[in-house]
Amino acid sequence: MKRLINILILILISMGCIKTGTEERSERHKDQFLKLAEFDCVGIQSEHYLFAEIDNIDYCSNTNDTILNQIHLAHSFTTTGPSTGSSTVVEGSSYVSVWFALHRDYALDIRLKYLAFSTDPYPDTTTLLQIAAETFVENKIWPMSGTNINQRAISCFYEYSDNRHGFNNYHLVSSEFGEQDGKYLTMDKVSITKEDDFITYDVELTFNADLHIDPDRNGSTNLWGEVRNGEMKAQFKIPK
Amino acid sequence: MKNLLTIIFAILIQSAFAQADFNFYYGIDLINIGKNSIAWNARDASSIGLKVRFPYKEIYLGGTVSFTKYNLSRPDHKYKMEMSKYELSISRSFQVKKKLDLLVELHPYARYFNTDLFSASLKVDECNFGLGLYTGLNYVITKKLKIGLGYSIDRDIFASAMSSSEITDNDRFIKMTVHSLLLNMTIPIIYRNRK
Repeated sequence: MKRLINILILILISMGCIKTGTEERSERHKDQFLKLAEFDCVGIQSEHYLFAEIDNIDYCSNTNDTILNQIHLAHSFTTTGPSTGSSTVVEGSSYVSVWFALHRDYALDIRLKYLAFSTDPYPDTTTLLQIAAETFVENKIWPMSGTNINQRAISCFYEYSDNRHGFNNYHLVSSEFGEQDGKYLTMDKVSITKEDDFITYDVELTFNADLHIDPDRNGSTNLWGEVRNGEMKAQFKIPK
Repeated sequence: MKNLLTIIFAILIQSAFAQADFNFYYGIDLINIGKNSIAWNARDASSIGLKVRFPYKEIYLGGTVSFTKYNLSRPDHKYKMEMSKYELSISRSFQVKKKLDLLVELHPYARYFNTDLFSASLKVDECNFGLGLYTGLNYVITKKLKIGLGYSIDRDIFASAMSSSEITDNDRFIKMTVHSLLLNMTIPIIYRNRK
């Protein structure tokens, strides 16, 4: 009888202890962002803003002294080794895309969190101005980028830096990690002002998206949040 | 942490007392996780567990290790979850008839969520603490075997605090109330060679 009890105890232990200490420690860092994401919404308070409901919780971002209209040309590529200095770029892996949002400037010593958008990849010879001209078109309805979307689209993502001591790693949940059925970003109003050195886009857009966990980085797949009734009013100044 | 607690528990029950009741159970659980900003539901929950009770004067002192599986769902999405629970218990048995007794037990517990869930509207913390009450009837089949049926209610009182000033909305932490119907089998063990 005691042997039977020992066997049953061992079964219980083996069912319960399925993660090693190392795995548990790495997961603690991994899910820090996902557990702690908070939305400090104070309503629409400035001329340029981004508002959305994420799982029925209000998210908003208003421009002020530190939160700015941001548009970036992101250059992405794969190298043959871990170092960008000594490694060569894998042929055909280089591309550019444009990110736009309202957020603070990047810095190593602050925690950033923001909802943002990204275009699909373009050839790495394409300029920010060219992509902006194709993206910000009045009344254009962009499909939300997702695993079931095959046409050119725009992705919506929520990004957060964990601000760990000595690091400031960025994590994101994005529309492109899951399916998007009937989710769109609509360019409701676009005004273009041409100056000597800049082209200014005044943009009003609305959007819906489902944000998913990155299965490759987090080892878990689930819908993180439903973004609904999103609206954004922003001004992007792009150098000529 | 879970490994350590489980091993300590196993060693304790193997060595501590001259007499012990080992109780293995299967539970059908009804989990209520309260209201959230979207319609999260916990369904299809079941658990298995091992309880050990040591007689001490008029009462029993003991502990429990249990594992629960359940489906956590939001509209159009369902996720399989697992959690484990570690209890300390104090209980008392009352004889109802010759072969039938009633057991009443109070148990504080720690509940560990083994499965990660990443969500904007629900935070599954690593560990919750709570208090539970069990009551059940046991029927004596032989001197070495009892079978029983019981009901327990467990209520999470608080989630362990995460070390961050970021947390402002405590309502988004998952806090459970679990109702369970437990089918159990008790094996009393007397170590006759001990003094």
